[in-house]
Amino acid sequence: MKSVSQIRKRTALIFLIPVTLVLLSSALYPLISTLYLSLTDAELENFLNPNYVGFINYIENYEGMWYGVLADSLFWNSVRNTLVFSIFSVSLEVILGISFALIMLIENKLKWFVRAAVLIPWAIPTIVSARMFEWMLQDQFGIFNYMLIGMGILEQGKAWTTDPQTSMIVIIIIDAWKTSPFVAILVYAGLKALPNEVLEAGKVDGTNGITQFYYIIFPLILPAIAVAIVFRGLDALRVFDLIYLINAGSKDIMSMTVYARREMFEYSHFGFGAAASTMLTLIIGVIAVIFIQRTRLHKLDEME
Amino acid sequence: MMMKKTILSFFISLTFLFSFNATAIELNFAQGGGSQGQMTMELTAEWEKKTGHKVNFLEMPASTSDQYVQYKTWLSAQNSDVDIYKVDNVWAGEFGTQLIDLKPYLDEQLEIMPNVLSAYTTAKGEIIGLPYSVGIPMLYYRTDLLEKYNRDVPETWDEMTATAQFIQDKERAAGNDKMWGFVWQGNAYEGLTCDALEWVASHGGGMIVEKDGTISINNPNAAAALDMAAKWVGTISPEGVIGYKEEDARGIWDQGNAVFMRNWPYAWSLSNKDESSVKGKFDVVELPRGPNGKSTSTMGGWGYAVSKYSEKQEVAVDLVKFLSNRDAQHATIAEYSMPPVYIEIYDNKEHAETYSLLPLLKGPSQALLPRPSAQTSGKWPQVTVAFYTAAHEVITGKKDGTTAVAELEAALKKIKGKGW
Amino acid sequence: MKNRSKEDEVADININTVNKYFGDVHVIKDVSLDIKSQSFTVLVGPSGCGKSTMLRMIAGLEDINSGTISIDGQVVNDLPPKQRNIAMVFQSYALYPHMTVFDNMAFGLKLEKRSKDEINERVNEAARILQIEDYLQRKPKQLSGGQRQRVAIGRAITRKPKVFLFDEPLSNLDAALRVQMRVELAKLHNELEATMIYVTHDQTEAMTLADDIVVLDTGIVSQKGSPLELYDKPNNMFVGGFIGSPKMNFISSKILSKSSDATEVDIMGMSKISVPKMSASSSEGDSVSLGIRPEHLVVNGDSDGSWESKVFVVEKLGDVTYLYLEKEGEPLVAETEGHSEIKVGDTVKVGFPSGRCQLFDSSGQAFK
Repeated sequence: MKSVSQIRKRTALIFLIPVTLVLLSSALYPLISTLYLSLTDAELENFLNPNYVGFINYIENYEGMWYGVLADSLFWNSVRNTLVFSIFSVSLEVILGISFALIMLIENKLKWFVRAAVLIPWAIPTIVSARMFEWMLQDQFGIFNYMLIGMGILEQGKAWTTDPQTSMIVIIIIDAWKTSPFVAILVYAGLKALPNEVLEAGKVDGTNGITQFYYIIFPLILPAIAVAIVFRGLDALRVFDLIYLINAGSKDIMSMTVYARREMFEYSHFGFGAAASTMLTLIIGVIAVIFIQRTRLHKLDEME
Repeated sequence: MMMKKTILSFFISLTFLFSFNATAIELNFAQGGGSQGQMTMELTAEWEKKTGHKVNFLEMPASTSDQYVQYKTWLSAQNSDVDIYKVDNVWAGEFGTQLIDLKPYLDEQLEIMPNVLSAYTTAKGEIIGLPYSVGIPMLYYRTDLLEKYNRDVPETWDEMTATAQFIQDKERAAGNDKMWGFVWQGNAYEGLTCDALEWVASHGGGMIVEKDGTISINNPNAAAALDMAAKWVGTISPEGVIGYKEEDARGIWDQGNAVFMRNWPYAWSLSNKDESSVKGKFDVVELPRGPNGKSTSTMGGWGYAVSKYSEKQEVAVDLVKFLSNRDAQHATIAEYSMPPVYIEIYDNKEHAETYSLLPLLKGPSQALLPRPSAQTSGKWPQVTVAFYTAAHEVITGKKDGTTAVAELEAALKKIKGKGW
Repeated sequence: MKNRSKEDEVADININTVNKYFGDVHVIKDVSLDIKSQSFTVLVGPSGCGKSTMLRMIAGLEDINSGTISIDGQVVNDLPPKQRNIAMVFQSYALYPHMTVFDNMAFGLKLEKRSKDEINERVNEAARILQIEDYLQRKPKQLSGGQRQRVAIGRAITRKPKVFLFDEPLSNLDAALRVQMRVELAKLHNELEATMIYVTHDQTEAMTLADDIVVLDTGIVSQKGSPLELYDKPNNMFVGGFIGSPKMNFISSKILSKSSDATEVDIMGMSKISVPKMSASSSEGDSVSLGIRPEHLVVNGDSDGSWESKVFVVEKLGDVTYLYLEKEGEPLVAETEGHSEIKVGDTVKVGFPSGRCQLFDSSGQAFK
């Protein structure tokens, strides 16, 4: 006669089977087939029947020249773009998100309006907001240039989204605009969870707005911020739609995903593209592991 | 309840009856939307009436590069569900091996303009697509402004630049500070490849990769051509031109704020609409030439191709021939204003009444140069990216022409690898 | 009397006709109080009576709608908590969870930008007084409830405030710990000789700790006095019923006759008693409530008035036994010896010593 807990465990396992199957087939299978593809010479003609070629797609020396993903300066350029984009946009989003969360805390008649306004950028689909910004930043008809020229800051309209010097900054700003609400919500939840009496004790001890934030509020919402950074960081490393929509061909903002896609689908270098995809997965994976390690260690200290 | 069941089964059998026309074949046709898509659908409806077959149109995304990607995916998966593809002339070379040779079936289509048909012909002489329109880029110019300042229609790039600068300065001095000299397509995309190829070829700088596969781009004429364009940015062209595609340039032209525009024929009828500020005030001429070359227009245009994996090839070929024969051209030219592919139609006086551009196109149609996609076969996407990236770097001031073409040659060699 | 530096001086508090509204609800109604320096004053009352609100207004955590509060002669209405020189111990301790015990106690001083030496000295002294020196480097979540409570008190001590405010600090502790902490707080008060204002709903804490008790009843001061004053001479039924556990018994009664120094009332139709208390505004025939504490009733013995009934509950506590006698309305509770043999169902006679009886008129006011 099985004990109650044994029966429970078995039931749990049985319930887990369908989920595991779905996960394995939808996530594991493509992962493995991409890995396999990266070791073949698959192109348009032989896609259904490629040949195994080992690590040629990753790195190869032919007649004195280096070929392969790891030898492609464009690949490393896109890695650099992705990292720059991720670091700056996540930082900006955290700062904006915290600010919005603090604003959302203010109790007044406009509270519902402020909250809706804060959430709207996130609710708008990327393609809509990308086009919106494109039009606002357009050099001849865009409102942004119109205002700058009117204020005398610029003489002619600037092509913000295609100018190599400004396109990355523009992308970062659009992304921060779009996703700060996400950070704001996480931080807001953290703020709401702050025990009010602790803040009052702070007031009694003599905090003003700034010291209260620095000594009490900020350390206590750090876990929420860490969660936001992990999520946003992983999203940012995977960025595709915004960059593709604004300027798919530009070298200055090309991210790893845009690079991989171009190799795969525009050049039909399925093997090479798969290798690029594998590399980008590896890079993101390593960064993710390092980051989660650090934040969890940080949390362990507090949670004990 | 019995009554309901009877009625239901009656209707079900009716639908079966209607869908079961044993002799009618159903074809799947992949094409982008827009007015050209509209035109194809109208012509196809005629064919459906005539033959009793049915055609399903699979509407593709608006962006041609997205269509390209989708077609590639289908073809590499040997998808037998799609029978006919509407293809850009550049893709023909690349998809060649996946499309059937139409040559054995053609009759009057063999009389299509040879330079146009050549873009759809593989190195082995197979005709893998039938063009129905050809894109002939031209120089649009403001007749009123040239007259006002007593300037001739330019024949060389230098003349165009000088006239553009002159008129722009005068107009701005007179208070019209939104006026620009020349608008074109400078964004980093396939369109820039077209514009830049025109500059290079008309300077005698070759066509990037010659017909025999030689990489010819690294030469002083080509470098000079790119440097010339770089000088336009911020002087006679707005700085934003480095981000313009066709519609951006046309937008400025349409508002009356450009003296010259380089664009495709589609802009002709749009600029003559009542809402346009330039209605009746402009004309077209072939593109200018450089000191060592001839006027060049990069060939555009679309055609129809039949998939090698289609299971209804005979019927598909029939439709494709129908859509590209002379009758089809005559039927649609007035309404859709597209340059035709049979040379004698350019002389047709009747059509010229509704499509005023028609006779003006004849000259430029002889200056057509297809992009080197056939000789670079499957690697054209990489070649065009390398080329337009290099051109973009020159016009944004990152590199000068000489450095750019030298580096481009190295890049192309790497792409060529073991062979085209 | 300790030698005090200027900083160590503690203050008087004057509360003058203060009103407080939460929206439309009038929670503090024209309250005036004087709290002497160095006294231990307890604000006591049932939930919702306004005692915590009052405390928070003194602290500066709630606004005052009208009236003034002065600390040490200075009106503090518009001053933030920091500038009032007060320290508060919260019911939930409100320790800074991310700081060590040391840092918790040092925080206020750090904000005042005091020197490291001075901070060390003050924190260590407070830790010594409260016997938490061993925990200085721990974080709050590593401490037990009682330990956290001490840290909260320690945080108040290091600030050397003019007034200590306690908001039900013992409510979250278990019974044994509560008793122990009560003793410690009394010791603390003696040692620091500071002004302390203490809020609780527990009348035992009030009775044991206070120099002065202020009983609040829905926003007004019901009575203020020393613990024994409130015990012996409640001004009204509310105070009478609130102070003392188990509660004072209230018996509906009627004035049978008045004299110059006594009032005769009837005891549930069974007997009459002449209580040496007077009220000018009452007359024969008026309804009154007779109040007598369980511990003053004489069980199965003789006294001035008496009454009989059946026992239906017997509570044995070891040192005392409580008998619950059936009567109209609430049962009568009488206290008797711990080893009493009386059991449920027995009929018991209770005697009413007239000197211990209280009389309250129909509006609840006490006869004096």
